[in-house]
Amino acid sequence: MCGGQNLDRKKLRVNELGLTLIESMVAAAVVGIGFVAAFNLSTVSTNILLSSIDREKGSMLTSMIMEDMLTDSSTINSCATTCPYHNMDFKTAGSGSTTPATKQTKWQGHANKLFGTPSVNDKRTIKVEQTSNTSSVFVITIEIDSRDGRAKNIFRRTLNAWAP
Amino acid sequence: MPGRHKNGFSLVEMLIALAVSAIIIAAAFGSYAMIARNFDFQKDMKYIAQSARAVVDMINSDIRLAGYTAVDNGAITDAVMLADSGTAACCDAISVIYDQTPTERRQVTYYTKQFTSDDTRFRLYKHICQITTPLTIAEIQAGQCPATATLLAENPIADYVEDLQFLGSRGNCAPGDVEYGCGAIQEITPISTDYVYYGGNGTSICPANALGSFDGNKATYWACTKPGLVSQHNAHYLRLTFPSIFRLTKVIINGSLGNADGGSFDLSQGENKVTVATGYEGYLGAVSPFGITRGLNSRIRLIRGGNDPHVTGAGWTCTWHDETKCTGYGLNGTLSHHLKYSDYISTKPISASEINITSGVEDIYITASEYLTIHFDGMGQVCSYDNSHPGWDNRMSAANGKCALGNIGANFQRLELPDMKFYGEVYGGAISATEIETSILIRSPNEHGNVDRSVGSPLTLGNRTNSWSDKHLRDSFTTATVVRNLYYSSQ
Repeated sequence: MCGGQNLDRKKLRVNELGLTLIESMVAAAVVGIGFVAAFNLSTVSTNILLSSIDREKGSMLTSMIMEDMLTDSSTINSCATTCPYHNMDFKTAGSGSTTPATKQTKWQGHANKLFGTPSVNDKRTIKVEQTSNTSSVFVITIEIDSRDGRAKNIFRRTLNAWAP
Repeated sequence: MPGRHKNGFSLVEMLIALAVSAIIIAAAFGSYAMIARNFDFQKDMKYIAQSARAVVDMINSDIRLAGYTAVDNGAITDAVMLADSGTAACCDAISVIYDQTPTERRQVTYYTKQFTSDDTRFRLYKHICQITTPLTIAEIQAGQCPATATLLAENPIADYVEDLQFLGSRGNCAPGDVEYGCGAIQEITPISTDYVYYGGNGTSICPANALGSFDGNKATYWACTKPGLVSQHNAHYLRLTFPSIFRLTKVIINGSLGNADGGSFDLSQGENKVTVATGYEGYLGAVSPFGITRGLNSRIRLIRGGNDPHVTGAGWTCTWHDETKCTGYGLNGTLSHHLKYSDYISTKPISASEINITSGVEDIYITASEYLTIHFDGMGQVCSYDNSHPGWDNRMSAANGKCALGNIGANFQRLELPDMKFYGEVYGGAISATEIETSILIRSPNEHGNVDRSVGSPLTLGNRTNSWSDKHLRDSFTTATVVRNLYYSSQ
């Protein structure tokens, strides 16, 4: 009888007094995970902000490309058959002195200034698609990647190609 | 054990607890400091991006409106003006003009001002002026609005602007390009003239100075009065020298000098020649002695010139994008450098004649030069109303006193050129931009980090190169906008 009562008191003492080493280590690990999450939060939010800024720059560059195309609407209008702008890759400069080639060189320069020299996995392409067979309205899709292809920005605009 | 305290902590436990707490507090403080630094960093990055976006959107919306005129308002000259700060100093400026309402013409100007004594910190201002006459950017910056116009607003719209650049373009044109479509269409007046006679003996028999025919004053004009002119009527050339290289687009020539003889002309009868007698045409509106000694419907031809009056091989530039067109019809050094062989410019009796040079890829239309040669091809005819007039022929009596035009006889000794105006695409100056590229570089208000940054440096925006090495954050934004009113009106 005495031994049983002693055992209960022992148990009680174990429950009431302090933490074991394992419990404290587990607690420390959990707190550590919380700190790591907090550190990552700031890093991730900064990356999100920088991606947002890159997207803003991409949008401005897209606007520039669209405005440049607007002044070459006669070439866009012929995009139903032959389109120098379709599948244009402005990672490289244009060759020749035609209007599309000159513009390609200009866009390449500006993209490099804004996003840096592109890596192999970065895309900087333009696609021109006619909305219907007889339409003079074209959908321009511009893809601008950065950070070695990890940040993809795709912009889409419509252009009503007015031919003088 | 009897007498042992059950409450409180031992020294060892306290020390361990303190150590652990210190570690936790240090970690918490460290993360707070890092998060606070990150917050400041993001706040400044956000400031740069938001400022740039707002500024660029604002400028672009004004550029798109440039040149818009409300109904019944006069045309806007200089709808877009750019001021280049050069390659060393900050920053460019832009001014656009449009009608905000039918009664309010606005000139909106964006320029920077240095803030206090910090010569690396500039504030961007938006200045709105209600005008009747455009002001230059320099005048606006000097305070001419409100002195001579109504100031509506002048507010800073961005701070810490390190560079603002504007680049005007027109298609593929760059300033100074001598290419079709890259100049400014405007009136152009010769600055000197030479007379050349190719009648055989090479003697200059007429005055060289013909500037009186280009001064806008009908009372002054070039005239040559010499015996024997009639027999060499197609050997007279005037070479005009202009201040700039230009491509001719329009010519206006005043009516003949027939009213210098007196009389009058009834315009209600028209200015076309009609048959007044068998074998003779005349003007029903002419009243004696109108045009009895002055050449009516005289003809000239315009020839693209070089240093030699009518033979070129040098001194002109092909402006067409396809230069093979400039080696076609007579452009490779022969005498065929005229408007078109059949395109003479004739004077009307009274009214001015306007000739628009729109003949496609003909030589004079697509070549540019600072010279133009006038070839006098025929001295015209004179009116005769009765037998007292020098051009009279008895067969004219059937005209019953109406002006009968007769060929110039041996008595005629006068060659004249009524006042003329030339319009052309003038090259060499600033191009009339239809697209504006806007670039802005903004730095952060505060410094960040412990190490100087030079990422992205040097950076060329427009015609200026920026370089830096400090702890500020920087970012640049570039876009372009078409000045729609100017672009579509140029098509």
